[in-house]
Amino acid sequence: MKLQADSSSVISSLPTREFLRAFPFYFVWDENGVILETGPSLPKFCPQAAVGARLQDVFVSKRPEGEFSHAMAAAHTDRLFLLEELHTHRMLRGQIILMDDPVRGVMLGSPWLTDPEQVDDYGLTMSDFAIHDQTLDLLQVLQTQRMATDDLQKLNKRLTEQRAQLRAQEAQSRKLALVAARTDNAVIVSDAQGCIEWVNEGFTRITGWQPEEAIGKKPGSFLQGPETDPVTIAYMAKCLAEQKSFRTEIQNYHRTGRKYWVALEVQPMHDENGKVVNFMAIESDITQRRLDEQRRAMQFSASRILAEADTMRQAAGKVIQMICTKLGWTAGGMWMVDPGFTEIRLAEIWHDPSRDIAAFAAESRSLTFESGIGLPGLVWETGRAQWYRDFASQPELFARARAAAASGLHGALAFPIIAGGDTIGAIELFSHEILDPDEALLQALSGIGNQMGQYIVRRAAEHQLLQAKDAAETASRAKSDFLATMSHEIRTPMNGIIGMSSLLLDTDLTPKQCEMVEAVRQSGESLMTIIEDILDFSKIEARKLELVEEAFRMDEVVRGVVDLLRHKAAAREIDLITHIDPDVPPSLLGDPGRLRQILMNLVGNGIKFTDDGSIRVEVKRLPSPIEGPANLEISVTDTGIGMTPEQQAQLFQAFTQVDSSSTRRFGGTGLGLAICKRLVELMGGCIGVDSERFAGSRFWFHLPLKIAQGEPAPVVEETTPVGQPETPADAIKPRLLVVEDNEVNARMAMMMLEKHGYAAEVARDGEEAVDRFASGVYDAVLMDCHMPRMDGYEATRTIREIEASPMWKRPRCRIIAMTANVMAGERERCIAVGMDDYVSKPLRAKALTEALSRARVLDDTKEEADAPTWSTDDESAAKGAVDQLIEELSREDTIELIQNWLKDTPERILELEKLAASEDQTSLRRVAHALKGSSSLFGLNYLHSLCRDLENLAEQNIRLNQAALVVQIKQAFESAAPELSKIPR
Amino acid sequence: MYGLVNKAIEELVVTNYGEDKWEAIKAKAGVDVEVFVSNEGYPDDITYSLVGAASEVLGAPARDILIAFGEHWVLKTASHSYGAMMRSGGQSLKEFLINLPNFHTRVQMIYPKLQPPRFECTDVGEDSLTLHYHTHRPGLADFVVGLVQGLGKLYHTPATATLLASKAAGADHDIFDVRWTAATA
Repeated sequence: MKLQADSSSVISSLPTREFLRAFPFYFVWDENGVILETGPSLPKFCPQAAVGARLQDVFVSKRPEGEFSHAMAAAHTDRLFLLEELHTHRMLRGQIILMDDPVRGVMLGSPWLTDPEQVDDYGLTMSDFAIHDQTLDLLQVLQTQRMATDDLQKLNKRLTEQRAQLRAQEAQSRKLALVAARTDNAVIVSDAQGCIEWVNEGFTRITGWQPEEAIGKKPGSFLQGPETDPVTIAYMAKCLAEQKSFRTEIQNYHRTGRKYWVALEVQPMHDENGKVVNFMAIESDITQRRLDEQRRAMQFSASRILAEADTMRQAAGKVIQMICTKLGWTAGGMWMVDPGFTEIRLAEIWHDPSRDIAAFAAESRSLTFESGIGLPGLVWETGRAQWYRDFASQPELFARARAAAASGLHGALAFPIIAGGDTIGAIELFSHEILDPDEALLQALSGIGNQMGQYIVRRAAEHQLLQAKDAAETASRAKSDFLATMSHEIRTPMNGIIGMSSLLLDTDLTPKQCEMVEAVRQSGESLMTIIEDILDFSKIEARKLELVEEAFRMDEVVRGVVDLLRHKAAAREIDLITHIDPDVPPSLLGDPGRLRQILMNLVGNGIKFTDDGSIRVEVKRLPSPIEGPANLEISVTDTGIGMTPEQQAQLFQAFTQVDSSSTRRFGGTGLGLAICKRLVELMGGCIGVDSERFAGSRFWFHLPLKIAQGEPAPVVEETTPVGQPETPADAIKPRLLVVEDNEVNARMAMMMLEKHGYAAEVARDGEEAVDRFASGVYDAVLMDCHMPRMDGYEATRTIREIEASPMWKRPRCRIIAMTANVMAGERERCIAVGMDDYVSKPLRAKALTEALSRARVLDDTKEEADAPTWSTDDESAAKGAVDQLIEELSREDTIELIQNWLKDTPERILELEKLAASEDQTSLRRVAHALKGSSSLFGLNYLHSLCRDLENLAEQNIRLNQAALVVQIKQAFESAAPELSKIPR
Repeated sequence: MYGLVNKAIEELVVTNYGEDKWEAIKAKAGVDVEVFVSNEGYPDDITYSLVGAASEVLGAPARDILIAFGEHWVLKTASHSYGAMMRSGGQSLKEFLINLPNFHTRVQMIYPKLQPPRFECTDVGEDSLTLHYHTHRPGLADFVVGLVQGLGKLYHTPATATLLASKAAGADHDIFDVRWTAATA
């Protein structure tokens, strides 16, 4: 188009400044296409489009397409032009106006921007644009559109995410819903008020109620019933009110009325604000478990009742009551088959005291049934449990049906009592309700029937056992009594024969008389040996023989035996040879007395069966571990008649001898080797023989013997000849009372005492002894135990009572028991009644004088009384022990040990005083035991023996004499203490 | 109201207080809009409810919230969303304020349903002008104060807007005395 100068238009008068504000990006060119002028904003946008530049050098026309020149522009004045600056590629859009005179072209345009950022990039501002220019509007639309796109993308992204989440949640929900629907458990969702909103299939299975019947109701309103525990209901209501979760077990009712048990867990469900909007309950049916528990409890209760009951009837009553109570049944009875297996009759009946079943009970008592008749008879015949839904409705089957109906009894069951495979009775139970059979319950009850049967069998067996035990004990007592009596009755006269013949030999006799008396004595000794053999053997057989363990020297034992038998051997012209290997430990721990007994037997046998030659006693050490006991072989080899293998096989057996002719020739009980064998075995060893007929025999035994530390005391010869006084003649001897009913024994004791310088008198029984003692002149009493009228035990108790009286001014006198009773327990019995020591009969001088060495002349004041003297024996024993301690520890440690002991012991004795004769015998025993141990550590043998006696008394709860023993312990300690503290210096 | 405005409130809350607070404010305001679309129109109630709920949830007076929101709008939302457009709005605070009426005229033309406010500048001096704020929406004067303060910060020219006449108090429209520090302008 051409801009015409038209006077009618006000545009022609438009001031340049305003034109420029309206078209700030315009430019003008001449007919040669040279740019003549530009708008104020153009240089910012198209820097090449400067005045003087040629159009085609600055721009190329994109629309219409082609080189941008004046001619080209002139040809398309009706077109929208889009120019691209060649250098910057910026686009300018606009319209061409041509002027004729002079020829000019004008481009009215503005920048073509497609991105708001370009404004910034090109350094443009709003004021570079004409106010009407829609470029800015376009840019704003673009900008807003871009933001909206971003927003929509964001929304899209978020929706996509949410949809994925929703799908996942849906899948999860579907799974959960499936689980909730299909689970065996009942799931109930209720609202906050507890009304059901949803239930699963499990709910219908367990309760019998359909969802549509349950929704809107409270579960308790239709699930609970009369037997639902009200405490549990209250607990649940409380938890729901407090909106707390809880677990419990409850009995509910099925739609049909059947009872069942559920374990339920209820959880409140909260909304996002923490408000409870629902409750969810999960319930599992635990009816079976409950029933099992109930049955187990029933069986357990039955076991306990049976274990505690004295009689079957008592047990049956309790078992029936227990079962009825647990099951809610009304009554029950026990029927027992009679011994002849002809009928079954009621033995026991129990019923709920709140129910009157008198008519039924009376009828049951009056009836008996044959096998197969009535409920008990059916059980008897079949041996199986029976169940009738309604017993009362079957009068044609049960004689008692009408009585049952009258007493309101309907459901019935019965089960057998089976013992040793036979039905020996039946238990029947009745209920007020008509009940369907429950196989599991019948099984459980049958188990109880078996338990009852076993109880009966067991009781019978127990009864038989008790009888057998009583019989055995009676027999055993008779045997023990017999042995004790024999021991006493035989040894007492033997004591007289041997003792008196020995004393007789000391008197003036003709050689002939001497020979005869010697024969008497020898015969006595032989008889005594036989008796002792028999007693020994009996004791071993009765396991009443106890071995001692003490230190001894093997060479001394062997020498002692050989010395004793040497004259016998010499008489037969047999050499006695001994050999002890040098590696045999000099000092050993064991029972030297029993060892000597074995050796005496073997060597004695050797002498007996050897006519000429020698007997060789040898001791060798066998290989054995370095630690532990030494293994020794002791052998006795003779050059005698020897034995055939058959004869050897019979050796060591009780009451057998090699042959009958030997019996006559050699005499004896035939027990010797049997005793040896038992003794060796008791010591943990073995014994054997190597022999050949006419070539001699070699008896050997192996013993494991512990090696003793230190030097043992020399072996004491028990056979010290009577008549050698050992105490110094100038000492004032205590005055003695000999209590002995046997004339011979009393005389022998008196003679023995006289020889040792003791003044003594005789009392013939306990009563006389007490009378004489009361005269207050005796310092010690030798007391026989078995006497007529009053025995030694009783006499001792009486004497101790006299001494305990405040009127008695003399100190406690020493009472020494004399007894031929060698049975175990005798020593303890003597101590228990208040005796202080014990010597066995026949009396031996050594033992007697040793026992009397502790007796002393008593003063007439109690206070200073009884302080035992500290003898040289005590001194050496204590010194030996202390020396050993010093060797093991050190002198300093030993002194400290002794000082501590001396400091602590008075407290212990104080404790003993408190505990003596008190209820707390356990503590007394413990303290006495402790003091016993510590006193033996320092070789205080007397104190040790007193403590041991006290310990024994406490153990047997014999309280008499405990206080006296504590007094003795105190005195023994007081006399030992100053001496003991001197030793280590 | 323009979606961009609500979006700006969301940005302000999320940036300074976190996503959870924003969800809480939306819940409180009863606004269940997942994403505000910038160029979409939303009922004005939504904006008012969001401001009220933010005041309650954040424990700050509505006035403070609006001022903060105005500043945030200029410095974050508009600068980010309009970028070059904002920068091309003027070389100085004064220039920008003078261009403000034209800017809103364009918005009005492009989105006629949005009913954007109308601004006018009078008494333009070296360090002050009178800003006339015409709107049918009540209670947003403090938002304008925040906007002016925000612009002052954007142009490093501390500025204040003091309400000279208030529509709420019976005037025809809100009139602000806007002042800035000329030295740095």
